[in-house]
Amino acid sequence: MDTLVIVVIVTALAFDFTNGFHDTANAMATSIATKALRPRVAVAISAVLNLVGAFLSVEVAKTISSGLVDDAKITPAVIFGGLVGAILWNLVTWLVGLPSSSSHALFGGLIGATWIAAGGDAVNFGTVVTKVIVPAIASPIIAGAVAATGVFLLYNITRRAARRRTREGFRHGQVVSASLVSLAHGANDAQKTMGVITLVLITAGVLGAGSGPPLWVIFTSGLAIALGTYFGGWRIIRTVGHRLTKIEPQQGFAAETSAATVILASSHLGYPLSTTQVTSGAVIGSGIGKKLSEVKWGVAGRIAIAWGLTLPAAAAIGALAGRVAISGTPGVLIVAGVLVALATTFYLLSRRNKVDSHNVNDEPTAPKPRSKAAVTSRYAR
Amino acid sequence: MNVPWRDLGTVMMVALFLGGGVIVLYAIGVRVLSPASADGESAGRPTPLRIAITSLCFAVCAAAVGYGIYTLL
Repeated sequence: MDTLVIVVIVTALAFDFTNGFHDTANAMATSIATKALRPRVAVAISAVLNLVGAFLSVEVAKTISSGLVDDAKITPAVIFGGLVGAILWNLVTWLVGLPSSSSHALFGGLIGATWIAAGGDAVNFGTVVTKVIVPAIASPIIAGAVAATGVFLLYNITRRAARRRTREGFRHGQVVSASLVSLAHGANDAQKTMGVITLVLITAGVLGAGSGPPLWVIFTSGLAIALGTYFGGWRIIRTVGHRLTKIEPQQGFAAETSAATVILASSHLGYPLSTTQVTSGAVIGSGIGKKLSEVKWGVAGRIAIAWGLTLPAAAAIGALAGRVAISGTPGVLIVAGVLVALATTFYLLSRRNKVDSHNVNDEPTAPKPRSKAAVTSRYAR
Repeated sequence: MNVPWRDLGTVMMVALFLGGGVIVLYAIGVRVLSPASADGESAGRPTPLRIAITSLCFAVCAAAVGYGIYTLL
């Protein structure tokens, strides 16, 4: 295996790590918000179940390694460019706390890099539409509709039940439903990296065309996404858990159950859908089911814009990175250097306004207005 | 280009009946286990019949979760 292939595999695992911490919110945001689970316990459970989920299926991995782009027309350097596009978009959206789709970032990056390197013919646009874009639009709507219906029925059924015991009952239920989402996330999202690494091995001639992922690829992908999940994307957890709608245990349970069902059914059929969009759709649905006005539509709108931008933005970054990377080893080194520099910058920027397991449930506060005396003294200096 | 309407319909049906069914069954289980007095507080310990009904509801939910995991294998 040559050095470039190893660099691309390491970059793919780095993407998998960002996918893990970017998407921790999918499974655990509502359980953390309703205090069904302590933040650190929640991410630990989610990490373990993501690892287990990675071993359950390879249907989605096969779709990625043999469906989106023509593997005969691309090289490991092209895939490297695509991964860089996906990682950078994931980091930007994490920094601003937006639950955008890691999957669409990955697809966008790969499509952009492939298009610039091998032309539009190398991208299977039919597969992109039928297996990515249509499920991307339909899946959050389905999850939202099921969650809204479920929440409406659930509140009516438990209207005359003892309030405290009901909340406790749904808190316990949330532990199971959140765990199921984690498992489904591992099954769906870890496979995307498996698919990319398999694609690299096919383009490098290590595996034959149409091969599935080897066991070591399944294990390392599962481990990377589990580590990322344990790291915890606290900024996005706060957005999904507190800023979209005020969530009660009943809503959290319904949202997670709906999301898990949609993800599991789609994974079974081999659709690499965005677990982020499904869970965000389900959380919004859980707000609609209780009371329409409870959803903060401004935040939901910003998230929807981020969803729409993810594929083209990651494609643009992927195209740029791919264009530089295919020029040879110096190009790959330049792209890798830029990636490390930008990732470090984003990390340092995030430290200015740190969100972690200790303050993830704190209500966001508006900046304090300066007192007249402070302003006067500042200008007097 | 073949838009997979049939598969999307399958996901919709599975989500509605399996996901929605689990939510409703679990809610019924919690409701039966949590009898309330007039002020909305707990009206004492549930009877053996209530516990049996709740156990049945939760068992069906657990079976549905198990089936969901099985579909992935």
